[in-house]
Amino acid sequence: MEVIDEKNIILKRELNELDLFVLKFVKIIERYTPYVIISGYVSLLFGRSRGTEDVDLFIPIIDKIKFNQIYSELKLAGFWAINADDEEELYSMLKEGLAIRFAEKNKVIPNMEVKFTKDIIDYLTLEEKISVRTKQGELFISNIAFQIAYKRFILLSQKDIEDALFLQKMFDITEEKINKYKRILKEHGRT
Amino acid sequence: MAEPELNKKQREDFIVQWVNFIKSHSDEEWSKQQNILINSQLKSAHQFTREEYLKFKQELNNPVD
Repeated sequence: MEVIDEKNIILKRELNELDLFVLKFVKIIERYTPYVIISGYVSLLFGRSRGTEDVDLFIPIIDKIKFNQIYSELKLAGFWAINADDEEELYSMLKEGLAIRFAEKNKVIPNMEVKFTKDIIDYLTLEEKISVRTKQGELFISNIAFQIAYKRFILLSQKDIEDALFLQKMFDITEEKINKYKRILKEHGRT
Repeated sequence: MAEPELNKKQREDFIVQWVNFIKSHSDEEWSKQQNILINSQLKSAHQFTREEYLKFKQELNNPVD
């Protein structure tokens, strides 16, 4: 792994089936909207040795026409939405702040859990995204220190605490940096 | 140390050791090992129906079409 700067990483790892699934999905999404991958997959991408069934992703609020274009293209590429087939219903769910999940047709695992950004914290996550260039394409993930703070102070499960530890050790992130994001989370009512 | 705490400590120690392994080996090398775990987990994952999966995730608000 080569950390070019705070916003760019080159990862020369061999890709696994989950990585290929994610790359296939984001190659479609990125043609229409910015996105950011958050939570567990961020630590898996850099080597955390645990499994997962879903990959969380934020996109900004988009209009229905654009959503329908994305959905059509995803279906053409062999994805289906697990929650519903109807595009109106799926779009309504997103607008209500719910997640919708996409998997390969007739499967449910693995799946991409997509949400609209809903507040300043989600917006900031998207704005501060990092580019990770892999052997088969680019992925945008959340800022590492932000991710650690979120896992350590908001999510709090054993799995999340361990993900946070992994990322902190992996990237040698200082407590000062993590606390900066803890303060931001607190200022915006997340802790 | 109580058993849950010991277990937690062992898990955290393993994470630190694994990070050290990653840092001291090439991306190609560590990822081969990690991929065995992830690929086998995906291969053996039980493919629920949509309804079963959403129920499991407690997201079954509306019946799937």
